[in-house]
Amino acid sequence: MTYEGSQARRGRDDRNDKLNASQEAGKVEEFDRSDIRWDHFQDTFREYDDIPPEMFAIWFESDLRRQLLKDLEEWLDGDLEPPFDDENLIKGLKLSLGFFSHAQLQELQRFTDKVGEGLAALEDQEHFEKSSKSEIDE
Amino acid sequence: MNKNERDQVLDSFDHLIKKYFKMVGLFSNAQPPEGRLKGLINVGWTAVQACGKQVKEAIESGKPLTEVTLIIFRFEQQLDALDPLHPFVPNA
Repeated sequence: MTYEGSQARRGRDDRNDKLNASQEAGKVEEFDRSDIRWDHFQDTFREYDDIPPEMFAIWFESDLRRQLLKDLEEWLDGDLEPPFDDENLIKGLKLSLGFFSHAQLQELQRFTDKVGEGLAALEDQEHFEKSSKSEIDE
Repeated sequence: MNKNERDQVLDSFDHLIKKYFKMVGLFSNAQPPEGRLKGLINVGWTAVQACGKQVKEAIESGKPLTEVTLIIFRFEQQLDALDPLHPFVPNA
């Protein structure tokens, strides 16, 4: 059994599937996000140990962990929202990434997803404003 | 508790987690001994997990918003007290 098959990963994938299905159906509503958020919270804080001790070494050496660390380092090099926009904090987080557990990395990644969602929403809004302005000018 | 109130609780809880990462990141930047950094990461996260568990149980058992918010506030105070760079212990 590999780590990738673990319950924590499945929970995250299920949530992403739900969100993607809602987006495809064009019905991302506030209460859907609320439920997905609550599901994530319940999954994360259901148990104290997110990775069983016998699986820890597999997780620690896994490609999944390496990819997660790489993604987070890239995120820390980008434009960040408060409180993650502090130069000293960014340096410190980069230094401590290797010490974080699976759950801690997942939670940090969740904030990166949020930033991504925020930027995408901003781009959509800017696109909408530009297209509205050009329609008015015409 | 309705979904709007539950979202408010999750927002407060996100604030707690951000506080945790901020505390760890800033302490890490001060380049403390590895053991102290690992200790802070683990002890701080234990507080976050305990808070998460209490919040989850409180919401599931139908506790009102103010009571759940107070749980998170208590754990924010715990993180403040743990912060090695800015230790703050509130008056009893």
